[in-house]
Parts: sequence; structure tokens; C-alpha cells
Amino acid sequence: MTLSYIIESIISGILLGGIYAILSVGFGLTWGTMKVLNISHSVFAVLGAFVSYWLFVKLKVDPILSLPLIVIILFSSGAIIYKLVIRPVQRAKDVIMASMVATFGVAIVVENVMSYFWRPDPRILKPAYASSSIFLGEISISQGPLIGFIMAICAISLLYWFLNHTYIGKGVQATWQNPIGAALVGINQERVSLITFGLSIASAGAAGVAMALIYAFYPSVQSIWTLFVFLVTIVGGVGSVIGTGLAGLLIGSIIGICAAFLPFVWVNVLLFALLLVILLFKPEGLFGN
Amino acid sequence: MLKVNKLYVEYDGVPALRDISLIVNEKEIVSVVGANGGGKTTLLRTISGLIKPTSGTIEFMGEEIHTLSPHEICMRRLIQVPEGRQLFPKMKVIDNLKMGAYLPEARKNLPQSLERVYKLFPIFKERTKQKAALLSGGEQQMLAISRALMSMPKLLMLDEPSEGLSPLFTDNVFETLKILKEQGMTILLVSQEVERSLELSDRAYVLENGQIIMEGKGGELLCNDKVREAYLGM
Amino acid sequence: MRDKTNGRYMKYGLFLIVMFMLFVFPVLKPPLFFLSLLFTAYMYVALAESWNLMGGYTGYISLGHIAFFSTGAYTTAVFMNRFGVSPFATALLGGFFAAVLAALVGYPVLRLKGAYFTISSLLLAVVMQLIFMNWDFVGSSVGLWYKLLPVSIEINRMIFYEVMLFLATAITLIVRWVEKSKFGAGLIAIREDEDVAKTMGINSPWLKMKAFILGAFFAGVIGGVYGYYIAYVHPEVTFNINTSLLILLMSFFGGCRTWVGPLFGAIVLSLVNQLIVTFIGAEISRILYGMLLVVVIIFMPDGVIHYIRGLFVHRKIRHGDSIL
Repeated sequence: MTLSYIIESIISGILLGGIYAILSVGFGLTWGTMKVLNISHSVFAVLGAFVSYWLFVKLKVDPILSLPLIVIILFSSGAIIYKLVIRPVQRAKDVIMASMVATFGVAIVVENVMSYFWRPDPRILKPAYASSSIFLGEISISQGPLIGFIMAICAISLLYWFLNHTYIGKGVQATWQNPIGAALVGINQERVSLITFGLSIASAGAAGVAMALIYAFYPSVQSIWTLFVFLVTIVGGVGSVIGTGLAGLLIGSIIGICAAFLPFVWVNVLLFALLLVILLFKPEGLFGN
Repeated sequence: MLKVNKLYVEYDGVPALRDISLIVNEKEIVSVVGANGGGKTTLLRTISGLIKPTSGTIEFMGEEIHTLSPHEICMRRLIQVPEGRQLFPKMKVIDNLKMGAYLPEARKNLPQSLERVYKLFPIFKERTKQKAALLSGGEQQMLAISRALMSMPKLLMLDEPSEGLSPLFTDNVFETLKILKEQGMTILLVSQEVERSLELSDRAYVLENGQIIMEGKGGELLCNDKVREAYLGM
Repeated sequence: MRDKTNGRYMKYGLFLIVMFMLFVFPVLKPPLFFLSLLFTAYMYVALAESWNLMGGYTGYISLGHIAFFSTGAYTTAVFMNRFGVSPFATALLGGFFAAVLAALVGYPVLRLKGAYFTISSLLLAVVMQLIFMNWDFVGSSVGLWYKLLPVSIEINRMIFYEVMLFLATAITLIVRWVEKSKFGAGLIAIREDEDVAKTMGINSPWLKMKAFILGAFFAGVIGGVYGYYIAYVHPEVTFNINTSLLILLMSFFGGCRTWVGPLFGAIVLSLVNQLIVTFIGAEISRILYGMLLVVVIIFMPDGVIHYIRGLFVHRKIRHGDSIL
């Protein structure tokens, strides 16, 4: 075990962490702002991966080029789910619990529709550049994760910019901080919610493409991705974009370091046990306020 | 300008407002006074569309608005400064003001509105970057009023603007209202500060247990024995 | 007064007749498919009822019920496969292990509320699944095989049919008794408002713990019998998240405020589910019950029984209201 091997592991862990961050950021956003705990979040990441995969395999469209299209498709799916499921559920007494159970249903439906039409076999998104590596001295960095990471950073920055520098984004925050105040300055809460939810799903779609550049994906992988989303979101503090970003990087590094010494399955056991511990002792997250 | 007609509101089946009718004319200050829990806040929230009435109508500038949602009512520039201020605590002062100008019409007028607010409350010009939560109670109230002004109200409704404030800031609030009146603003004021509200107002209504029990010119009510006894402790 | 007692005797009579008919059903030598269909239905009745102790009465929605179920199944499997012990007593032992696990996990996890509790319970199941996948002693990802009872398949199915019928009946009756007891009233008070319940002198941590352990014990026993029945355990079979969700859906569908709800929901949905899985496909079945879950949460949060009754009584049920 050489030093460069450890450094490589850490770097690939960080790259992975960035992707986990974008996978989680939308989930934390809807939970924090709309009080909607969307279990179906990562199933839409898988859907994004599938759409990108088919565009690549059938039409030879590069995943990077098809990304805007995927964002649009998933935003629309999010808007539909919002109208059909989330909006009615928001009338419940305990929105978090009701949305959690209802979106569990959505996750099952979407997962099994995918599995029905596209078979449950694992697939991987492999454009030519994804399998080559960049060398920095002795250290090699594979391009797949690197491109995924760059996509993730761009998406997070865009989301951050949207939330803090546009009127609608600020409206989202205002609604979160004070719903009555927001209604009284003329913010249309239904519209703001729809946009928030749509963006959240769109970000999941983009994350799915990034994930697919690294890992094999199949419909039922969504439940594992969901657990990672929970992990990152809880560690980062629900609803904080920056916190989620940091948490993603932190967890990625942990994965990177552990993976250098442990078999991969035990890394997962370790991480989920860690999540349990955090839930028990610091449910507001490590970077939350 | 604003016409509330035979308004009934229920909360979980319990009547909160019964048969309320009131009118606010252009460039008037009208106040609604009465004890706590009398339904004053419910009245303003219903006018703003946060609560839907069981029956009755609300008309603003000749248009029925009681079926509209809050943001549509804001679009008609009927703006409320709510009880408890309802600011955005984690946002800066400037962002709170900008949120006041969220709707397109107000957004176009942003620089002029800011100018106007800064003239009224110069401290905000110095403290644009401060978080709203870190302002004092009085300053927060000023910010709430300013935010409402950013929406360019045709009619400004204020719900207990002096609640929980020191005498100094209470003076400040009523001073501000006087200035706004001189600028030609139409105002509907809800307050427990009966004496000062009546002094300031052209007309006033006394609301008790969800019903209007008295109405008249501000000065007249101020001289009314019942009002003096019940609210002014004389 | 007299009518009331008569009505009660009628109910008991009807109950005994139905139970007797179910009991003698295997004697008619029905096709095996029917026996396994009903076996599974009974199993889901027992699981849904035991889940409902926590999920329904206290509103602590657990997705970790399969962890206890699997504990039972694996107890049987390990005893059969490794030690060659094969009496039904291992089912009770499975229940015991599940209860111990619940006690250990419950102490920290029951302090969490709402979604945090649900997620933790889900994590429990997932972490256990991952551990079992990689633990050679319990067969890791290969699973454990062992012998069926040394009798003909017909007799075999018949025995398990009767055992599961007994379990489902016993658990349902116990849950019904809990519901009507002071214990049950305490649990329901916790659902209404835990803080208020505490001020009323209800020892909520202890009550939750009791309900959690009792539910886990039942799940362990059921798992123990199930492990014996299929003669094969594998982490992906016993720890299937879909099973947890199906149990939840059954309770919600029937109505999780009373013992009748899970009973009704489990019978209807498990039969429908198995028929669709057998004749159409597992994916279609999951798609349908995922949709059903959404519909139930949005339109009939108190369950279908309550909803239908509401339609007849013309009482307005508000959408999305009630325990959620």
C-alpha cells in the first residue's frame, strides 16, 4: 500500500462526495423548505441516469450534451409529481410524515415501471473519455468521476446562485423562513413550491447522470442511493446547501479513506452505522445551525 | 375604496367574526379598536386572503377580492403589516426590503421605493447588510412597515404596530403613520392603543367578541363615555 | 340491553364458525396453491397486527419490522442448519432474540420522533441486511438451505397452514385486547400528543418500549415459523424493504387506528398481491400497491373502512387529515 494509492483513494472519495452532495442537495431543500420528505428523490436520479443512458446508446448523444435536456425532462416530472402527490399531501396535519409515506409509494411505482420496461439489469454509462485517466506524477485520476464531480459542482453552484440571487429563489427562502410574511409580500406559495420541487428533482436527475458515470445503476439501486442521500443530508443539516456540499465532501473522503483499507460492503455498514449514531446524538446535523 | 360587507368567519366551526361591515374611503385613516381576542387580527387576515370567510363579501377598488389568494390580493396593492411583524429573520435588511418589492409592478419601482423608505427611516440606509433577526423590536417594526411600503400600497393595513414596543418606539410608529397620512396614504389601523389610534383616525370602529359594537368619527368615539370607561380607564 | 348481549353472542358465534371453517379447510384437500395463498395471508395478518402496535396506535411508523421478522427466520435457519435442531420451539426462540434486539435498539431509537424514527428503523433493517450478506456463519450472500419436515408436501403445508392460522388468530386477539386495555389507551394518547400524554402521567418511554418489544417478539415468532416453512433464508428475501412497505400499506389501507384495519387490509391486499404476482408479475403488483399507497395517504388516511363508512354516513372526511 503506497502513499500514492492512499492519495488516489482520497481523491476519488472527494470526487464521489461532490456527486453525493448534488444527489442530496435537492432532497434537503424540499425537506427544509417545504417540509416534504421526498423518499422518491433518488428514484428520479436513476431515471435521469436511464434517460441519459438511452440517449447515449440509441442516439449517440454524449451525456454531457444531453444534460440540459435531462434537467428539463426531470423538472417536468417533478412538476407533475408535485401536482399529483405533493400538493394534496401538503394539506395533511403532519406534512413530513404524510409526504414520506406517499413518496415511498411514488418511489416504488417509478422503480418498478423502469424495471418493467428496461429490465432490472445493471448498466453503466461509458462514453470513451470516462474510462481514461489523468496522471499527476504517480497519481492517476479517472476521468469518469472527475467529469461527474465537475457536473456536480456546476449544478450546486447554479442552485446556490438561484436561491440567493434571483427573486424566485429568494422567494423560496422567504417562504421557508416565514410563510405568512411571504404570503403577505405577494409570493405565490404554490408556484414557489412547484419550482422548488421541480428543481430538486432536476438536480437529482443531473446527479443520476454523474453517478452513472461511476457506478453501475439499476432500478432498485435507488434505495441504496436514498440511504446515501439521508446520510449526507442529515450530516450536513437539513435545508442547508453549503452544509450539504461540505457533508458530501466529508463523507466522500471518509469513503475514500476507508475503501483503501476495508472491503466496500463494510464501508457501507460503517457509514450507515455512523448515520444511526448521528441521528441519535446530533439529529440537527454536523453543519446545521 | 375598501368595503367589507356582512362578513362571517369561522375557526374550526367556532365563529370568530359575525356580521362585520366596514368601509375605508380614499385618503382616510380608519382604525379598528378593541380588546385582545376580539377578532381584529382575524379581520385583517381575512381581508388579506389568509383566511377564507364563511360568508359575506370584501370589495377593493370595486372588485370582489374575498375569493382571491394572498398573492393576488397583494397584486392589487392592498398590503398588510402583520401582527408580530413576520419578517424574514435570516435575511439582510436590504433583502427584506427587496422582498417587499417581489411583485413585478413594485420591482420596477424599486429604486424610488428604497429612496422613500430611507428618507422615512435613515437607519436602514446604514444597516442594509444587517440580518433582520438582529434588529431591536422597534427597528423590526419599522422594517415591517418599510417592507409593506416597498409593495407600493394603495391601502396599508397595520395590525398592532405598537405591540410590545417601548413608549419611544410607539411614539415613532404613530409619528410615521402621521407622516404617511400627510403623504396621502389610505390606512386601516388595528390597535389596542385606543386613545392614540382614535386621535389619529378620521373614523373608527369598536370590535368586541367578533362584532362591531360602535362606529363613528375618531374624535367622537374618544369622547364617548362607554369607550372612555371600557378602554381608557376613565 | 338484551339486544346488545344477543348481538355479542352472534358475533362470537360467527367468529367461532369462521375459525372452524378455516381450521378444517385443509381437510378438504384443496390445491396446495390455496394453502400457501392463505398461509401467506395469515402471515401478513399477523405481521400487520404486530406492526400496528407501534405504527398504528402510537403513530411511530417503523420500516424495521422485517429486521425482527428476519431475526426469527434466521434463528430457525441457524438452529436447523448448524445444530440440526428442528422443533417449532425455535420459533419462540426467534421471538425471544427479536425482542432482545428490539430492547437494545429501542432504547436509543425510540427517543427519536417522526421521520427520524422511521429512517432509523429503516437503517436498522438495511445495516442488518448488509451484515448478514457478509456474515459466513449465517450463510452470507449464498443463504442457508435446510431440510423440510420429513413428511409429504401436503401434510407439510397443512401443518404450517394451521400453525400460521393459530399465530394470526392469537396475535390479532392479543392486539385487540391491548387496544381495549389501559396500555392501549396510553399508546393512543401518545399518538394524539406525546407531550400532553406525558403531562397526564403516562410513562411514554416505557409504554413505547413495551409496544415495540411486543411487536418485535411477534414478528420474530412469525419469522421463525416462516423460516421453517420456506426451508431457505437469504438476506434479500427476508430483509426485503418491500415487505416492510407492504405491511405498512396493509395497516393504512384497512385503517391503522383499530385492530380491524390491519386484519382487513392484510387479507385483501395479500391475496390481491399474490394473485397479481403469480399471474401477472411482481413488478405490476408493486406498481399497483405503490399507487395505492399514494391514494390511501391522500384520500383515505383513516383507511378504506372508515372512508366507505364515511361515504354512507355522508360525514365529510377531510382529505389528508387524521394521524398523518
